[in-house]
Amino acid sequence: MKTYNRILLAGSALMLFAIASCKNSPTSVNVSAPQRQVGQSITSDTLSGAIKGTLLTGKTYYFKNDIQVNAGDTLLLQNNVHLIALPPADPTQAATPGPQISVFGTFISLGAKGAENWITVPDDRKTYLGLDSGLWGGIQFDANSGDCIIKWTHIEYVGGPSGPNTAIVPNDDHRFAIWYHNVNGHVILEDSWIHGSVDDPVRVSGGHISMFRNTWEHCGSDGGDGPNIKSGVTGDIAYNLFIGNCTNGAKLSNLGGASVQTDVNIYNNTFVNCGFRTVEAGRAGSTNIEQGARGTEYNNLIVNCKTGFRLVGNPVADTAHTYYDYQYYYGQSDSIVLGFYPNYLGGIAVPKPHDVAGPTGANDPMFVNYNVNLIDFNSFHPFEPQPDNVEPPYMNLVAADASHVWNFRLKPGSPCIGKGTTTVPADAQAGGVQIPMPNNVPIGGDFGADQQGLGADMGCYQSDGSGNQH
Amino acid sequence: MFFRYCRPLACGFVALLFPILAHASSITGTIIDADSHSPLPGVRIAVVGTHTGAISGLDGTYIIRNLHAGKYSLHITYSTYRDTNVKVDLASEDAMDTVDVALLPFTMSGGNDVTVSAKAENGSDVSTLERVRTSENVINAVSARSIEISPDINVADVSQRVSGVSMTRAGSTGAAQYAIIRGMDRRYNYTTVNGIKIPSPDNKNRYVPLDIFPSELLDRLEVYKTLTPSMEGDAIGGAMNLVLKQAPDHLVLNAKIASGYDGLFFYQKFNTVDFHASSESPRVQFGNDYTAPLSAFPLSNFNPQQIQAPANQYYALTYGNRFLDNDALGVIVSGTYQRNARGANSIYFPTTADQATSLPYLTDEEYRTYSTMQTREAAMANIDYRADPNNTLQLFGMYANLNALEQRDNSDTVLGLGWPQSVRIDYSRRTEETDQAIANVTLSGNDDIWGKDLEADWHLAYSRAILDQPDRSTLNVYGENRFDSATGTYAHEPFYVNSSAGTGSPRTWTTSDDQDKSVYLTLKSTEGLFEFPIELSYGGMYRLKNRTAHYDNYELHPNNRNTLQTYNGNVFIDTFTVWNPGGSAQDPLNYTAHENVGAGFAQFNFQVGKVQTIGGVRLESTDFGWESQVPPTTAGKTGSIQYLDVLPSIGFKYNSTENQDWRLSYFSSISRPNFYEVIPSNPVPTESFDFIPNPYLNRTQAQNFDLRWEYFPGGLDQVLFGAFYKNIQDPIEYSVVDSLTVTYIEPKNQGNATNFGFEADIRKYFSDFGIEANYTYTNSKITTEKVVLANFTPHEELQTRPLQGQSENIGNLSLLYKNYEAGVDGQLSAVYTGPAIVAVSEYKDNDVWQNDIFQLDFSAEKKIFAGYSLYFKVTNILNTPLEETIHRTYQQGAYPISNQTSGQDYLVRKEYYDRNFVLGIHFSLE
Repeated sequence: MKTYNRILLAGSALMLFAIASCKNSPTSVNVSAPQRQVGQSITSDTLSGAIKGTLLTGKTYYFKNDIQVNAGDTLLLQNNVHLIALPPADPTQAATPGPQISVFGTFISLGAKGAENWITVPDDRKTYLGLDSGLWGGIQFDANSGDCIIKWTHIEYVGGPSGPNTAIVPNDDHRFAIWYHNVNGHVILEDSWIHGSVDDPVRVSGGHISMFRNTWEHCGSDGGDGPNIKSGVTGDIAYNLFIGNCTNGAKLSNLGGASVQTDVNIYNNTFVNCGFRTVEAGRAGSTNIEQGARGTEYNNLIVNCKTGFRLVGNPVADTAHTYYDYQYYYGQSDSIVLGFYPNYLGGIAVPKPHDVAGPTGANDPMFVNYNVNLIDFNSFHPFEPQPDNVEPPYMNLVAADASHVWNFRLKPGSPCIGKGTTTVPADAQAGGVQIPMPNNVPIGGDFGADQQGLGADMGCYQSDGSGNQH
Repeated sequence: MFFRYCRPLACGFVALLFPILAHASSITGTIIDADSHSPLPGVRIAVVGTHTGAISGLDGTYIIRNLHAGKYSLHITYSTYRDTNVKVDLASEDAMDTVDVALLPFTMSGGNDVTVSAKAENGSDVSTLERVRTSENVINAVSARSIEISPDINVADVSQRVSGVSMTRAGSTGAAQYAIIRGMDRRYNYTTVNGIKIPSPDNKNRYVPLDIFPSELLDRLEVYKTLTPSMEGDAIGGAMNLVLKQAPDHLVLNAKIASGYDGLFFYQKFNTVDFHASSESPRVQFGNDYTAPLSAFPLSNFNPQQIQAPANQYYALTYGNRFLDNDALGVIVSGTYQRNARGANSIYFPTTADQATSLPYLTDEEYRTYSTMQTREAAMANIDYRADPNNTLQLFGMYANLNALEQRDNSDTVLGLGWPQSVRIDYSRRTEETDQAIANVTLSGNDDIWGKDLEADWHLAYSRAILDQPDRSTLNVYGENRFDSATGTYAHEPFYVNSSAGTGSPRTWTTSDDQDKSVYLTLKSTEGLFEFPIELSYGGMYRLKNRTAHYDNYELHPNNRNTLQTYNGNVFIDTFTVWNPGGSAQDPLNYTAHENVGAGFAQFNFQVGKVQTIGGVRLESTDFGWESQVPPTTAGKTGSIQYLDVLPSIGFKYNSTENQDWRLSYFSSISRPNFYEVIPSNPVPTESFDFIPNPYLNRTQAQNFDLRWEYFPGGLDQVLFGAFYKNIQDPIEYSVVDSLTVTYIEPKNQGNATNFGFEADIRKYFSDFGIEANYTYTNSKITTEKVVLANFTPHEELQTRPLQGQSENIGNLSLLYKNYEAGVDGQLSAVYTGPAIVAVSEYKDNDVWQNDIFQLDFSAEKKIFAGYSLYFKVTNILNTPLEETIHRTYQQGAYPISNQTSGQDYLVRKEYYDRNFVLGIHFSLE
């Protein structure tokens, strides 16, 4: 039997030697490549899967499931294009919610005045309840996507949670009409309408933005600011009209850890009836600069909003580099007037010399067709979120119902005319501020921005016809 | 409490000063456990043919007096140990002979009938002690009997008393949970039961919570601080081995019944919930296309009720015996049931970093109360069959289950959003049932083949660990207190049910099922080829691991958007809708994974003169693969990772004098990445930056050096001084990565880390009392990239710090008292754990430290009549809080924040658990 042992011993010695001469192997990793469909050219009016190319003028296209623009590909909408999402019967009660457009490449919608593009739902789904229902999922950009260029385009009835197979948006997260988060990319959103979103209508968590002359209406069903700007964003938000937004119209925060500090000029915007649908305590209701963000606020017309401009003291904004003045306020009730400078909500903005902020009922801005005393805000509790039944009435500017087609242009003789500043005030100039922000986005042409500097009249409509064209 | 027991201790000292003089011959000595080296108190030593005898004292010592010169035979019996006979020859009258005996626990592998006989010589007992010093590894061990008389009720409690071990604590109960060995966090250690590695019920990681196991199942707890080639190689800190009960030599029947109370509930109510949940989420049950109806989320899970906490219950029963001819068949079964109500009150400040200064920014001030009903059920059976001393077969099975139904009320004042003028209060009521179970079945054999030349040792094992956390229900409501500057008071608005973005009321299912099938084979032969015998062993192991994890989060929102629903404490008046009825199939915690590990080793063991050498090489090959639930458009939906490790080790033991040993050892080891860190997913939002897994992580590799001096001055007293040094390559740390577009957190291999320290473990017993003390110093260093915020933009800088979980100083001190005449046992135990990082911050220097903890526990036992004793335990006598701080200097801003003091560290958490009392009866038939 000893023989066996000797064999074993010899074997072990050999094995020891063999093992000892081995080396630790490097880790060998084999990770599946992302499954990509080659972007298909558009050949039918029903879109699905990965697509690229051009949606032709005058045509209507449909998509029932998510469509995707691959990295390197472009989807371009010529003018007068209808792109119709076909939502599930009740997206709020469906395991797979409304379809979305997932963009890894570039998305361009070149509507034109009188030949606007529509990215919306079938007409029979356009109900008031539909505005809060997230009938389709919006346009979601990947972190390494190309640019987002949207002009003269209606984007409506969007939002809701992502589903089990949704790309880009993780898990059961909230979706926005546009979510963009490439610090190096560009978002040009001009002359467009965002109407009805469950949460934020637009969230930008990184990118160069130019948002001019848009109308934002009924954005955020019971929470949401919009556009909601996080860290890594620079640019301008100007000549926009915000009507009946849930919380703020435009909000800046530097939350999110991007390597670029958020710095945005917010000027010549009109805010009407915002902030009354939020159900979260501690939220404001027109425009905010908070948490490390910097920017400017000039020539904004803020009418019957829950609060005025809130410069947030905690977590504090970059107050040393934030400049503001020339806000024009109107308040139909005492509580709205109290909210012009919302220090009861931690606001630290102080009245500035060129602000117009009179007592209750003073300084009617004299809109062409909108009675600022239409709604009795006295019945609103000033510090509570407002339920639906006292929400300012449905005010779709483009609705067929003529009784609701309001006009927020200024009548001749409006006190708002000529009250704005047309030059960057001295303190901001000393701080290096230029308006609009130079070298931020490409300017001019089909794919560049059409920008305008500070306008003399308060708000988005200028008496010389410039500014917002809606 | 302490002083009451000082008196007997003092008496013991006095007794020592006046030793009783022997009138005739006597035999004295010490009885110890041959494996764990612990003294065995209460061992019966009978002098055959006479009516005299003794019972060993706390230190294992005994004395039999009034003997005359002559030959005697001592019959030594003790539960679960082999009966042992020792022959003594008392040469003369007035002699005092020393007979030390090391008892062998009744185990399979020690198949030979060993009777340790001691030479009846004065003074020397080295021969017996030497036997227990022959462990191949540097180990520390705690015996069942020491555990039984200690204040500890589960294995985690026991572990904290071992030299070099500190514990992480569970937030809601303060209970010890995971072992940190020599400053190496839980990821660097593994846990085995009877030497078989067991899987983890954790759905992200691979470590095992030790508080699942009731201490009654243990025969002993071993902590291995060095590895030999025959052991699995993925421990850098060490390995915990739970040796469960083995069939005894004779009939054993043990029963315990006890009750107790958590001191917290003397003055506050216990929150309980009539909790009902299906174990799988609606999506997992019915598929990804299923639309979950509201009825799948009973509102009663949102509805806690206040009750007087019920009394705690503890039951344990053990039966063991041997049957058939020659006692060939041994059986032991043991079961435990523990049910206790635990609680905690805490204040907690979540933090981020100030964007301008990078200092901690306190975002909220939260007050929490926890009520947790813990039910621990465990059972084991061990059957062995000895065909003959050289061929044995053993079947072992165990099951341990810890169910915790935890209710947490959290009142959160948001320190932003308008604070302090407008104070937003988020109030959440969370019910979470966590069920963790571990089971193992092992069939083992030990056979001699080819006569006695070759010994084969084999195991076939199946293990399973399950986590089931169904329908974690959190009701979120909010309110606002508005400061009215006119009156200087806060006007309180009612609470409303949350409905807005991202903060509805979540209902979450988490499950994990991890199964191991493994086979082990070791062959051993002794060869006299050279001038000295050399023992060779070689063998291998293969383990198939499969894990399936599921996760779903649903959110309930009020059913009419834009309307407010007041919450007045009665949730049934509120109505809800399911916001995302499809669940969250894409969540990264939905995955299946396998990990197949194959290993082979060759080991030698020989002694030349006073030097014993053990060494060899182990090869471990790892094949890890996964499939996750992310959409196929995401990279890494499936993947695999393979690597091979060659792990050499060598150890020398030099027996410098008869009672001193030097051990020097080196081993190479690894630590595998956790599942969740590797399997790719979409970015996972966290409180700061998004988390992105990293499939390209390397396993951590380490070179470990140990030096230990062991001194056994006599009896069972011991002095162990050890030092260690670890050089760790590719430690896995969560690092901040700036991709130029966005900053995120990624697990990364972070260069090199080092860890060195020393341990002192001292034990001194006197007849009636003893002292056990240990102290460990650890110093580790690692450098990682952290974020610094300046001028509202982040950049990265390097920070050097200790490893997470490493306390520079940890120590234990136990004072023991035992009086056999009175049948009284007492033990006062203190644990000190120095400050350690419990959470590594993404921001430079903002790590969260657990402050030092000094915990004092006490236990006592008194025999009431034959076989019965009464016992009492109280833990956390000083009501020591768990305190966490950030070591940056807080300066009050414009407004004061409660519990924060200018000029001191930022307080992150302070949590109180109160004392825990247990009173019970122990019956023992042996």
